[in-house]
This record gives sequence, structure tokens and C-alpha cells, in this order.
Amino acid sequence: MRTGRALGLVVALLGLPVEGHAHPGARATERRLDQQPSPLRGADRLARAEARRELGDGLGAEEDLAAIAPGDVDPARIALERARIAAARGDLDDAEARFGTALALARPEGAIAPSRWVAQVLAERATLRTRSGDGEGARSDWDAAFAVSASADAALARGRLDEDAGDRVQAAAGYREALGITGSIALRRALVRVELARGAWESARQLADEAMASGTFDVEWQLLRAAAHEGAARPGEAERDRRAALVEAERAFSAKPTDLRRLALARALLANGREREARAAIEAVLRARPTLAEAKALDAEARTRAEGPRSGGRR
Amino acid sequence: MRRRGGGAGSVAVPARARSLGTVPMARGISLGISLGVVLGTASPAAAQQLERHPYLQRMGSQEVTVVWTTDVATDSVVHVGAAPDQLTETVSLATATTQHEVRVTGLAPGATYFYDVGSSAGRLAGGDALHTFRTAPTPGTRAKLRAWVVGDSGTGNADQLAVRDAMLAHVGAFDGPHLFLHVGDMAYTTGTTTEFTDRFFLPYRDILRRVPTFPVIGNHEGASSDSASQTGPYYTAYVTPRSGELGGLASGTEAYYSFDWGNVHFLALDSHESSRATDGPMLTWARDDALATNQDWIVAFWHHPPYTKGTHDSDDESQLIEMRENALPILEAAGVDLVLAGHSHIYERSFLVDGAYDTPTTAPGHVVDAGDGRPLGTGPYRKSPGQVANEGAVYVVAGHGGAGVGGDADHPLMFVSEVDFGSCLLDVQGNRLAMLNVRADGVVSDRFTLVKGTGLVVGSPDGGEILAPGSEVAIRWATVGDVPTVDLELSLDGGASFSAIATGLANDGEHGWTVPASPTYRGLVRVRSATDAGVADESNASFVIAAAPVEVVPWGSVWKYQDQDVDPGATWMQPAVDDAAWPEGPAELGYGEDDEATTLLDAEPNVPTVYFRHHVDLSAPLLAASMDTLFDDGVAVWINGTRVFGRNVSEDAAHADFATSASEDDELASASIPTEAFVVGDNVIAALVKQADGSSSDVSFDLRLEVVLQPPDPPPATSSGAGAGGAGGASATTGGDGGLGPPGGVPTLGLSGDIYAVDGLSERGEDGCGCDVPGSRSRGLGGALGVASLALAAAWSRRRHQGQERATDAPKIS
Repeated sequence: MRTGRALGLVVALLGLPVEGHAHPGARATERRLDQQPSPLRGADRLARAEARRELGDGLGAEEDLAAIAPGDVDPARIALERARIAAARGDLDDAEARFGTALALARPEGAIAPSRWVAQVLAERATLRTRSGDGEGARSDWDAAFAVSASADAALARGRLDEDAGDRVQAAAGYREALGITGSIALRRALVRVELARGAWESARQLADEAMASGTFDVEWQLLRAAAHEGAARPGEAERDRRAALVEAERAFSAKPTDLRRLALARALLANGREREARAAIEAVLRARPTLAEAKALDAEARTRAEGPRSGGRR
Repeated sequence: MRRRGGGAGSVAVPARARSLGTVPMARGISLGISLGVVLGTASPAAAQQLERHPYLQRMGSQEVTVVWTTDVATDSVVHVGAAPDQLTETVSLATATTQHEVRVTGLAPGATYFYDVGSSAGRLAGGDALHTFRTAPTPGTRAKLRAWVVGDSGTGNADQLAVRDAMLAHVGAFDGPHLFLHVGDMAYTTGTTTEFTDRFFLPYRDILRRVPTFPVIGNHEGASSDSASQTGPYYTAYVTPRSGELGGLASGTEAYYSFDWGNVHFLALDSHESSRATDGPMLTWARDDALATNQDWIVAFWHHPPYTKGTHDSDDESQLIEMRENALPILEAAGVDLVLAGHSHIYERSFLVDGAYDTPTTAPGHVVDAGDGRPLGTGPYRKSPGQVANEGAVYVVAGHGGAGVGGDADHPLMFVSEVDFGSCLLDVQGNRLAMLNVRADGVVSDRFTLVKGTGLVVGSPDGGEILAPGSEVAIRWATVGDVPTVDLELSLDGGASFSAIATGLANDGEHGWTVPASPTYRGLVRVRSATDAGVADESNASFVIAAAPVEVVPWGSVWKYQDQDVDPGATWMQPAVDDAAWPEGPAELGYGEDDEATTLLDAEPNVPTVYFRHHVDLSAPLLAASMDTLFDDGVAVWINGTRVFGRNVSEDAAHADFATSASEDDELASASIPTEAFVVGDNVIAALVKQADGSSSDVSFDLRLEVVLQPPDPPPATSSGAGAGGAGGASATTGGDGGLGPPGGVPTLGLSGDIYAVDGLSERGEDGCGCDVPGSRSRGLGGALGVASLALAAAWSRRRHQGQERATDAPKIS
């Protein structure tokens, strides 16, 4: 089915890709537009530029953008595409400048979902700034993106930058604010981790309690609560939680022996000082799923424990 | 539709409330129906009209959210009860809105309710047999589940409707889906409010009012809706379980969520807009959610497929690659069993695979089971009970719901790739999961089964068959594990009760069964381990046991005839033609062989064509019809003006034309006749015979017609009261079905107002798939049949003829 020309123009002006119902991939899009008679509409030029960039043809993409008649496509959209092309070829300064242009040219009042567009550009620039080593600038962008869309994605990225900068207080505040808005389990995890790292034991314990009341898999939260008890000098309660976590992990794995539950069991074994069994469990998972990020991270943690002074679970 | 009362034009009409992203919402308010109260005051009456008819959201075992939209803002009122005329409970929201979302809680699990919607000024829709729903079973229950899976449908074009109608025809009146999973792209081109209304809510209106929808966002919806802020037409339209209301872990967003239905845990992800990073919020939540569930099955669905070579290439595009590289390791580590996606406009179904995360995707080392997964083929795919690591999952791309299909169809992990429109039905029974692909032309082109642990899988009859009493039918099943002996049972009431067919059979996977003379629409066969009653399986859907065939036109019947070498004109076979003046006589009619009961004109030269007519009164719609004819030299037959058979007579033959070739003397031919050609009441059978040439010495004609009438209507489903949780006297019907017809009533598809043409006449092959293979087809039934018989005719059109032979001429029903 064709997209009507009027609608196509509207969509193009709104900065959205024009896609037919088949919405083919980059290669098919380029092939289709290559076969269309000239002159191509601006929206098609832009679509082909995006396709060419995705296929690694930055020069071809630039040629398409240069051929778009003035006024045919929202200049903010063109600026955004130029920023992406620059980022793809590694010219971070140029990309930074063009992202700025895109944001400056954005006409929120004309877009279907202006906040989404702005948040998307901010997120892309934040990613670029992280690549450039401009953590402060990246944080600023994530902060602005969160202000626009209040998404867990933006809050998590912003908090991680805070953590990287050593500002755990700000990270915790950001996570907490976003957790209250979104209820994201990822933010709860991030927050409890920061709280533990900065010694906010009661906060961490409370976060774990809340999680366990909401249908989560208890093992990991019991271990986190154990860490909070340990930090708060309640070794008995910490020990009780660690042991309960191990019992629950063994039961859960027995009932449903998936890789994730095997890793949870490994985590509980590790916390209870049974490193050798924990490592065997982790290695079993890694043999089947060598790319599983969680398994790799736990493996690294287990190795660190094994190489360092014995820490066990009874800190 | 105008609501009752209100006096259009006599009352100030509230300003139109809808504006993008600022629609007044009545969301998030939970009221137990046991309260039975009307809250607040009604807004002013107005000439309110439905924009979107009622549809069901966030349905669980004890709740549902009923949604509808109106052109002007009013308050919202839903009545719920055990029967259309017993809507005893009321839930109201006082806030004036055009987007009405009323959450009804306190319902009983697995129970059937009826409802209406409207405002304090009156009813807008419902209060009839068509506005009904059945709540989910108690989480963890091993109840039958059937889900309709559709992707990339939202064109509003004929292909979308054909896909829909093929599903409706396949499921029939009693075995409709319990839930509707849409894998995205439901409102082309940019997911606007109007596109949603016209291309999703209107085409599926009669399904949506009975079957809850669980959607995921596609890229086309993403063009105008924002997952981060959960705004835009997609998020306005849907109410998804963001807070773990239906089981699962709260996601905190409507962009991705989970829910339990029976013993299945469903995970719905947003592959379009939310971060697909391994440590991002969505996949962190998905990991925790999948880790926590204890359900027997995990089914995940999202828009961008991890494996495809359709109109998209999963080796080329970032969203597809990221879902494969980031989401799959987590989900497979959690034991996911089935992954559904769309986006690529094709039907693709994988082998049982595990661990294929590389880009480009390669098959070696990742195919756990290279068989076909078909119960009667190489056998079901097998997994251990529960969720176990590294035993594989099946990946399905169902992006063939209505937008133009295409692609290379050569993905190395796919067992089946088909570039054709269609949709899928997911059936779960206990430790057995099955899925089939219903093409838009009605053909079931693929099916596979997964079994966890020891299991039995009924291969046939599996639903949709029409069995003749007294006929010998093979009951066939597959076995996973060690089941030495089995019992076979039959249900005539949709599974409410079973009786023994045979017990203690050696388990060889097949049993010859003589179909009893017990007419029913609701036949099911169950195979059960003779030593472990927990190991059992039954037909996915109902089959029919027909009444005994009735000979409505015996050999030797009296026929009107016209043998005077007069061309009767082009419409002589039409029912309306007055044949009162035609002479009549018993068959055999003809001359030249001395075996005729009625002698026709033997002219010199020969009369090229003789015409016959006969009237038959039918008291009910037909399930099947077959004809035998004796002729010499050519013959053609029409039913109610539609040519249904011909031999040695061309379609455009004129009166003066002779037969295209000579026959044997008194040659016999048999054929099945499309039931769509018949009507309840008077039917006209018209036939002609043609001489082979001017010098032939004989002509002969006789015809016998045998039909199978539909069984009488099934008895109403029993009402067993409210059941647990049905406080406040809101009793519910707990028997019955998950079909698309009124529970226990006359089977219809509920196509109120619209009569949709339904295609799909095919025969099932015996290739182990239990799939259909193309056969001759009939088209549009027209208005001659009522809604009920239309639905039945469509449902039964998949019939498997027992010992019958299809007519050599394709039916020409226009």
C-alpha cells in the first residue's frame, strides 16, 4: 500500500521515517529507492541516507542529504542524520555540533511526539558524549532526557554516570526519584547497590524488603538484605538471610533447573563461602551460554574472591 | 448506534475531550463488583455514540477492564452478570471521558460473564449474548488455553480480513481463542488514533468484545506513541498489566509486562523503543520476571524477530540483532519455550533451537531437534518438565497478518518458511504446547508440538472434522516417553464428560474407531495413559459427529423435464423459473436402452439437450452432500442456479451443442457437492444431458442425492453459580467454552451487523503434519444462508470427507 503523498510530506516534516507497510530493512530500502525514478522525494532521500549510513556508506548518505531540496524535510531531521553519520565515521566533534543543531532546530510544536524526538536526540548525544569522555555533558543530556520523558532508561544511564563520577549520593537520589515514578526493578537494583556501597544500610534493607513483597525471586534480595544487615552490624540476621537464601536457591533450582536459577544458586553458594561449588555452577552455565553477561560477571566476581583474601559470605 | 434517552439536540453536548496524549482517563480505579454501587453523579446526557465498540483488556482470573470510546465525554457504566438479562452488578466511574476504561474485579476464575457498557443515561452496547467473556483460569491451573497470534495486520485491507476470517472459520463456533496476542504493527501507517479505530478496533470488533487483547508495540505504532512516557494512541488504547496484577513481576510500564494464564507465563517486550541493552530496565525486569515464574511454560512475544529472512533480515538490522544478542541469552537461560514476533511479513517457524546468538546466525550446534515437531511426523519436540536449561525454544515469526508478504524465506534455523498471509493458533494443554498456522485461504500449513516430560498428543481427530456415524476413523496420537498402554475416551459435550472408547490398548499410536450414532458439535477424543491418569491429551478443538446421511433424492425420483428441442434460455436452471408446465416422470429418463421409466423424445436428428428440474425441501443446513448420477452422454448439474458438477459438458455449452465426448451406456459418476449451494427450504436441482452427436441412439438420466443435516443445537451450558470470589451475587456460567459463539447457544460467530465472506475449503493431508493441503475451494456464501449457518458452513468447510470423492469440476459458486 502506498503512503499518500500528503501524508508522506507531513510525516517527513515531522521528522519521522516514511515507511511503507513492508518497511524493509536497510539493504532492501536502499535497493528499492535506487530503483525509483528520479528525482526522489526528500523523504525518500532521507530514508536512503539512513539506510546507507546503516550499511556503512557514509559518503553516499551525505550525498543524499545534500540533494534534498530546501523545505522538503524538517532541517532538524537532516541535522540529526548528519550527526549520526559523523558519529558513525568517528568524527565526534562534528557529531556533537550537529546534534546541537538538531536540538536547536527541533520544532516540538510540529512533531507528533515532540518529547520523544527530543529525548531520543538527547539520548544519542549523551551516548556520543560518553564516547568522547564528556561525562558531565552526557549526564546533563540524560538529565534533560529524563525531564522530558521520565523513562527508566534515562534515569539508569544518568545514575550510572553519577556512580562513575563517584557521586553516590546524587546517584541514589536520582534512582530513588525515578523508582518512585516508574517502579522499575532495574532502578531498585541500582539503588540498593548504591545504598550498600555508600553504607545506607537501612535504606538498602527496606528496598530489599519491598522487593520481596512484590513477587520477585527472593534469593537475590535475601542476599542483598544480608549484606545490609552485615553492614549494619547485625551478623546474626545476615547469617540467617544468607542461609535462607541458599535453602531457597537450592529448592528453586531443584524445582526448575534453569541457567538463571543455577546462577542464583551460585550466588548463594558464594555468599555462604562455598566458592568451589559456586564456580562449578557458574562454569556449567558458561559452557552452555558463554556470552551470558550475568554469568560472566559472576564468574569474574568469583575469581576475584578466589584470588583475593578469603572473604566468604561472612564479612 | 444511538443510546436510549438523552434527546439528541436537546442537551448541551460536552466538548470533544479527545486530544492526543491528553485524553481524560478513567484508568487505574479498581472497584469490586461486589460493591454494586454507582459512584458519583452522571454527566449530562448527550447524543453519545460509540467510536470503538467495547473491548477487553487486562483480563485475569478475577478481573477484566472493559474499554470503549465515545464521541462525547460522559460517565462510564458497566453492568455484569451471569446472563444477558441478569446483569446484576454495576461498576461506574463518574469522570466524564471519551476513553472509558472500567476495571471490574471480584470475578470468579474460568467463569463466563455477560456485560453491557454505557453511561448513566443508558446502554450503548451489550446486554446480549454476543457481549460476553470468560475469565482466565486460576494461575497454575492446567486448563486448556487457545491464543490467537497475529502480527503486522493493520492495513484494513482485504488480506487482513481474510486472515481474520480464516481463523474464525477454523475455530468454528465453540473453540475460539481465549486471548489475542498481537505482536505489533496493528495500525498502519503511523499508528494514529484514526488508524487504530479503522484498522484494528473495527475489523476485530466482534472478536475484541469477547477475547482480551494483549499487545506489544510495533514500529508503526511507535511512529506516534512514546514508550518512555507511555503516551500516544497505542498507550491510550491499551491497558496492560504493569503492576503484576495478572501474575508476574511488576514492570512499572505498559510498554512491557507479563501475565499468567493457566499454567503459561507470558512475557511481552517492547523491542521498538525501550532500551534493549542487557543491563537496561526492560531486560533487567525480564530477567527477574522470568527467573521468578514457576509456571510450566514461558511464552515471550515482541515485535522485532530475532531470526528472520522475510521482509526483514535479522542479520542486518539493529533492533533484531539486539533482541537476539541481548534478550535471547537471558530468556533461554530462564527456560523460555516459545518466542513469537512479527515485523517481517512472512510465516517462519524454527526447529527446536538453543544458543544461536551470533551475527550472522548459523545453525550448526544450535539445533536441538532437527525434526518437524509434528505429532504425526517425526514427533513432538521434547523438553524436560518445567523450565530446564539448554533444551531449546521454538521461534515463530507471525508477521503475515495483512501487510504485503515477501522475503527470501531461507533462514537456516527455520523448519518452515511460507510467504503467504495467515495467523497462528497457540494451544496449551498441561504439559503439551502446540501451534498451527492458519493461512488466509483456510489451509493449515504447519503445526508443531512441544511436550515436557512424558506425554501423549492427539493427532487426529483434532478439531474441525466431520465424522459420519458408522464410519471407521483412525484415532491417532503421538507418545513421548514410556506409556505402554492407553485408554481412549470420547466426549460429546466439549469435555464436560467422557465415556470410554477402549481401555488398556497397547500403545501403538493408532486405533480404528467406529463413529457412534450420537450427533454432536462438541466431540473430543482423549487419550490417557492406562497407568497414569495425569498423562493425557485431548483434541485441541471440537469435531462433529453428523447425523446419519439422508437420501433426499433417491434413484427413480420424479423429475420435470423439457425434451422438445426448445432452448429454454440462459436462466432455465434458476430457482425462480416456473416449471409448473413442464411434463414430469420418474427416472430413469431417456430412450434407446429399454430400461427407462420415462421415455423422452427420440427425434431425428437427435435433440442435442434435454433439461430436468427437481425440488427438494431441506429442514436444516447441511454438513455434507453427495450426488450420484447416471447419464449418457454428457451431464451438468446445478443447485439453486449454481453449477456444481459437469461431465462432457463445457461450461458455456449452448442448447444446440453436443457433449464434448461420448460416455459409456448408463455411465455413473459420483461427487460431493458444496453445502454452500443449498438453502434451508426449497431447493431446485437442475440438470441437463447432452447427446454425443446427431446420430447417437440413446440418452439416459437419473440422479441420487444424499445429504447430512446439521445436528440439532447443543444443549445450553450449565450455570453453576458464582464460584470462588464471585461475591455480591454476580454468578457466572462456569461451564461452556472459549468459543466465539454465545456459550451454550446457537453457534454463531457473533458477526452482528456484518456478514463477512468466508473462504476456505480444503482437505487434510496425511503427511504427518495433520495440516491441510490445498483442495478445490468455494467462495462467498452470499445472503442465502443465515448468520448461524454461515458460521457453521465456514467452520465445517474444512471437513474431511470419509470415502467421498470431490467433484472433478471445481464448484462455480458466485
